[in-house]
Amino acid sequence: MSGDEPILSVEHLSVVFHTYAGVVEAVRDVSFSLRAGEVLAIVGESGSGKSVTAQAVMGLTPIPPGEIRGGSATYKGTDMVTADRGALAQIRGAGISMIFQDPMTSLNPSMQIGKQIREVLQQHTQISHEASTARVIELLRLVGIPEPESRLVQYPHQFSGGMRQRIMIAIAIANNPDILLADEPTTALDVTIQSQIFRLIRDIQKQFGTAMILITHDLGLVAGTANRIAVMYGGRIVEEGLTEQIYYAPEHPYTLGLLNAVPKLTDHGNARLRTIEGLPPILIDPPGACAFADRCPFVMKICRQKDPDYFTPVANNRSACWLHHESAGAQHAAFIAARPAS
Amino acid sequence: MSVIDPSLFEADRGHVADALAGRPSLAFWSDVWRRFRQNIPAMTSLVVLAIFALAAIIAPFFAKHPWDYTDLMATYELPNWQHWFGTDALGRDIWISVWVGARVSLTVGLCAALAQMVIGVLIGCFSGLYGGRVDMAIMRFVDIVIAIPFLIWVSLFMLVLTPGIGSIIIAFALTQWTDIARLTRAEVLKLKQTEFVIASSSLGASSWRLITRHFFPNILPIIIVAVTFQVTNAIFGEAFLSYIGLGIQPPLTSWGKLVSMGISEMRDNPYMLIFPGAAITLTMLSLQLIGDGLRDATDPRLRR
Amino acid sequence: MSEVPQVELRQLRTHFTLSRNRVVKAVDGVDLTIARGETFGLVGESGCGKSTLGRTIKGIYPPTSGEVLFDGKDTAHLSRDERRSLALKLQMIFQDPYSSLNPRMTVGEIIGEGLDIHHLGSRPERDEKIREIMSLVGLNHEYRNRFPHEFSGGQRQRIAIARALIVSPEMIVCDEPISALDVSIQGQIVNLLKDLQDRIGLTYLFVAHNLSMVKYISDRVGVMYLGRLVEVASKDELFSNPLHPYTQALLSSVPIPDPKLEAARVEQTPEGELPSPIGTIEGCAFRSRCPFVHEACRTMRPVLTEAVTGHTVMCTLHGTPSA
Repeated sequence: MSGDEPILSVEHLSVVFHTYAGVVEAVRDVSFSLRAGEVLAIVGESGSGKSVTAQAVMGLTPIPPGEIRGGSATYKGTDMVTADRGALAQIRGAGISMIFQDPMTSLNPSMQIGKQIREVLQQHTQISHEASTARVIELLRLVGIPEPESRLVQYPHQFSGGMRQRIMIAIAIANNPDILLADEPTTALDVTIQSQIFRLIRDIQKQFGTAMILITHDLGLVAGTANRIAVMYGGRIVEEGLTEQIYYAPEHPYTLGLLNAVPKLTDHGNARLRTIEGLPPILIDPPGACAFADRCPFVMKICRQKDPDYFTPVANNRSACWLHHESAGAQHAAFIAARPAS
Repeated sequence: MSVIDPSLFEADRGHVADALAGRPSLAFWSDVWRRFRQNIPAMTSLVVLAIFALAAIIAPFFAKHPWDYTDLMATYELPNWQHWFGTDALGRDIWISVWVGARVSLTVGLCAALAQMVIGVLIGCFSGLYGGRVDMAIMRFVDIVIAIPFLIWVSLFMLVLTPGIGSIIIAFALTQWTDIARLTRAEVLKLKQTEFVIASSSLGASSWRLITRHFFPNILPIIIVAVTFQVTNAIFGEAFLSYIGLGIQPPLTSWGKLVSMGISEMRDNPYMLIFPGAAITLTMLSLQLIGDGLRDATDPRLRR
Repeated sequence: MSEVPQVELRQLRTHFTLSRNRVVKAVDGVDLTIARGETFGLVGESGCGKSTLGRTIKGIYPPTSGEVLFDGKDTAHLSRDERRSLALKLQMIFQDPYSSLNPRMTVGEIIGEGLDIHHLGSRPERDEKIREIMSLVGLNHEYRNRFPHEFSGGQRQRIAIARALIVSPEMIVCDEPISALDVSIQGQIVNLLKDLQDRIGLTYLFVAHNLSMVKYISDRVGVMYLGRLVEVASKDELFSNPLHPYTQALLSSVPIPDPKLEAARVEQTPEGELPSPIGTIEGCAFRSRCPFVHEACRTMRPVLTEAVTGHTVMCTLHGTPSA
């Protein structure tokens, strides 16, 4: 299924933003890797740093006010974070492609969609006009645009939101990238369209074996698509593991809280929704403590003094939580008891 | 990993930090001021204007004689230690003249612009708020006001009113409010759609309340920028009127009158034009830069 | 039932005229009753008219035809005092916490505006009421002189709820109140709304597109499509036994945060796109995408019929259509 060498390796990435109120540490020492053909979901709420991470991996961080404090994101030997514009231009759209949340602003409103797809083809391959037209039609058909021969001369505003997102996907996969980065690709869409788009993403993944990073705030969305899930909070990855383990046996109180906060259609009865109290942290001069301490129902004294290291409570998982320290007996038991019975 | 004290792993029931406590309270206008301060041309202009205003107020008090004291022994003097800006055809000190004239020009500029703001905002708010036929009627009226050339308006006013500072201010105020009115109307049309206005009006807020508490505070940043440019127009307008003889009459003087006198003496005594000319130019330039600076400082998209 | 319902809609239509021949039929013939103290959830996708319906009930848009009855009285024929009283009894909270609060007013002023407009209570009485309401919604009274932009999205929604509550309403129309909030905050706001309902006895119309949240908070749920109410049932009944093909498609599209269940989920996504809401649609609004469409659907417009007790559906498969 997937090779052993990771095709993307993010190591100790730290990104800050300079604002009038101070320096915001948006991404704090984030590391993860992606293997060929694998689907990784990065889940987090606003302020978790997930989008900033994606931007940094694509070399898209706005340099003032942003600043890369350290770390790297290596794709096939190139560090995307420090690479120059020429190297980035070669990789973007061919090796790594990105699709964004709002297709309205990501597509050029005054250019025919066929031309926009052709542009990305011509930027990376030598291709004749006829061959590119054929490829454009093939791509539009692949993403489910009906009558592609006649529609490729139309403009973005002549398509619905779901269709525009499909066009964005066509542009992204035009050069058969190794990695597809999708940043909240369906947040702005209705649930039936969202479902269609995710089905398309899954089909593409199966057909072409593209590795994917799906960034979302909705844990429900990726349950059927992701192989691995990384949960981000306060600029750090607080838990990372295989999909089934994350949903059925989460090893971090924030993950547990997120799972509980979403009522399921399959729920019955009127049990009160167990929410996470409090607000997400502002990451200016973060204290050297766990960012989730103020909201954690299992908080211990150590949590307010030191930011936890990563532990490995079960195989293929890492969790940044003091509950997994050998001394955390009582609280750890309380946490396990709070998890839904498997 | 170093050994950690096991007692640190007991439950901690400390209070949940107040999320708001750490944030600096930043009211809108303090933020605008902070951003404005970073704009060097704008700040310099503010200083320049402040100096001019101060000089306009104070300088005439230190004069030995009033500005129109004629000294026929000292006509057409170049700038020297007795007369810093020199003297004119009748021996009048130009330095004092410039600052007396500043009082007039700046007063006209400020008052006219403020009056335009009040009239323009009120008309724009009513037009935008009521919409429909009221809006159309008001906008056609605005078109008519704009269509009639400024000189014709002013001449009409000067026929009816006695020439002087007051009549000039009235003439400007009653005819040059149209830009602000249109700007206000456009903003009000946008604001009408916002949810906080819908919320208030569905709570039963009266039109007056909507205008004063909801529209005005939210359009003020844009209006202030426009008003700054209106001051520029008014100052220039007064200068122009004085140049063609419709403006300030003696015993007052203004920059416009000084410039007009200076232009007639331009060939032989250029200093008579340079000083009042520089005063007007610098003032207008400063106002422009301040206006631009305000616009940048209040633009929400240009934050940080 | 002898009790007068809180809200009753009779063949309500709200149409917007874009230009001479182009009319958007945002709400097109809706019959609905909401009982006092009930939470009625209204779902549907963009363009279905659910927001317009909520706003028409509140009085933001005038009905084009049909009736809106509040406490049994037609809202189009009220005396001035009755209208004022209605403006207080029926409140609304909006979707976008960033544009529903005036950025130039302090939080205290925003919350107290209803009292201020109607001159209710003396100044100290109003201050006391503001303090009381802020504590009720979980806001620190110390922050009443701060401005909205200093608060997070969830806190702003609390401010909006406080603004609605301070005039002691009987009913609140919630127009997508949680869609713009983070997942973990959504639950806080929904729990708050539920608690308030228990404490004060409020009626809610909860308009949203997040089906799971709607199921959690509602007693009964209605589904809208292209301006028509196509199915209404109690929440358990609707989600376990959806009858209308659109409802079935909608429910099958909701992703489940459970990998095994998700792998087993069968999507019945309707084909094609939503037809344009401009102009008239002959027959059933869903016929262009329905997997069970037949001849009668093209010509007969179906009527909301009771298929099972308390469960009505607008579909020719379940009732006699009207001509």
